[in-house]
Amino acid sequence: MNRTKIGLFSLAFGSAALVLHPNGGVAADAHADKAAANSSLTRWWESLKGLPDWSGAWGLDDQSFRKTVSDSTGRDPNDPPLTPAYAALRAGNGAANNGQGPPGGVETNSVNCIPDGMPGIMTAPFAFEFILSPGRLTILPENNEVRRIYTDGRPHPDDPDPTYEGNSIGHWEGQTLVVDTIGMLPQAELFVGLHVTEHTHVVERIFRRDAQTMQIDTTVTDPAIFTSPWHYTRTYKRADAGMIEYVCEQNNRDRNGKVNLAPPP
Amino acid sequence: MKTVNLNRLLVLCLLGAGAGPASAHHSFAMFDMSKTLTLAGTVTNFEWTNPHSWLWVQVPDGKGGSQLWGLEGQAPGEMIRHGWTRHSINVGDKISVQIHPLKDGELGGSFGTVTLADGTVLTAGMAIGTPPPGAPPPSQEKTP
Repeated sequence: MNRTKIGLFSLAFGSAALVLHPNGGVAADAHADKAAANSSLTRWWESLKGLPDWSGAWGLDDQSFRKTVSDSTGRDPNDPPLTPAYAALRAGNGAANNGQGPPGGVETNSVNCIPDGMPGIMTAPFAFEFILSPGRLTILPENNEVRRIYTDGRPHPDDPDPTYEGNSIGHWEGQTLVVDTIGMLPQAELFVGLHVTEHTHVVERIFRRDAQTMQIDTTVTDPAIFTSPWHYTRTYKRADAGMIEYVCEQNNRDRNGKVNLAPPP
Repeated sequence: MKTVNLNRLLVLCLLGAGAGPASAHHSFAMFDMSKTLTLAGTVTNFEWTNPHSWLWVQVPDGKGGSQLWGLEGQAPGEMIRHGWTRHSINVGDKISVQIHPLKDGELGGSFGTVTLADGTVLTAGMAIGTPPPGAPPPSQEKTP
């Protein structure tokens, strides 16, 4: 075995390498050790050490989803603290949800298979995966939206192109990831029936509350929508059935609020 | 009468697992949630699809003919988390099903409880936190 092969071996296993010393003895090869410690592969795994275990699939629990519905329908007129203009928008939406609205229902993003976007996606009744990799958290909601949250120290771009999920950066405070999101499209949903603006700012504190619970404490700020910053806490339980495919375009018979009753072939 | 869903439902409630009593997809304002009809007929198709499952039932009209109803259910993910499988209902099954009909009078609706010929009861829709009798209609729980 030549030194190159041994070096690769030690790199792959990340341990101190024993190599044949040139004079015939066996000795630790300081160069191989250093190479392993500095290799990108080693740094990759090292950077994950000490991060919490967020593996598995997590779904908004019943209590938290009821809050989503309440937010949307305005059961509590003071939560969230909406400006008069947005309170009026929600009132119309709430009436529709109580079965008294327009025949086609409230126009939502998802009825036309458009992403909910941020922050609404995080309170939708899907399961989520939280994938930690070096310098990044990837949140995968079951409906195929993707949130990429960079934790490598980069700042927000000065002028990000607006997107449904916005631009997200995060940093760790102990076992809590603090995520800052800006740059959403005005088509992104706050929750069903209300949309964000280009100035909406979302801060999330994501952490594992206990073995069965993930928690996200969220603050949404936007003077056009809220009279004061909107704080809310939502909890997510293990979704025992795991992630289940949800392809909205598969058989969407509800597009544009009109039900397609053409029988299947 | 066998209630397939109940044990699973209990477990789900205890764990607080599952995603909630709602469609992920849309408001239910297109359905008349104040009205519940019970249809009896034969299943011609059970579309185990996203964003919604669809149950197709040929319902005798009492005049020697029959009408095909298209009934919207939850997404498979939501139904799986409430104990359903894609084999829970099969083509040819004789069922009775409770629905909230479409407001526009077409032969469609949103389906809830399904009872199979052998008495098996399948609970759909607002499974977690099913409101007690006399509670307001579940439309509020089925919003997004």
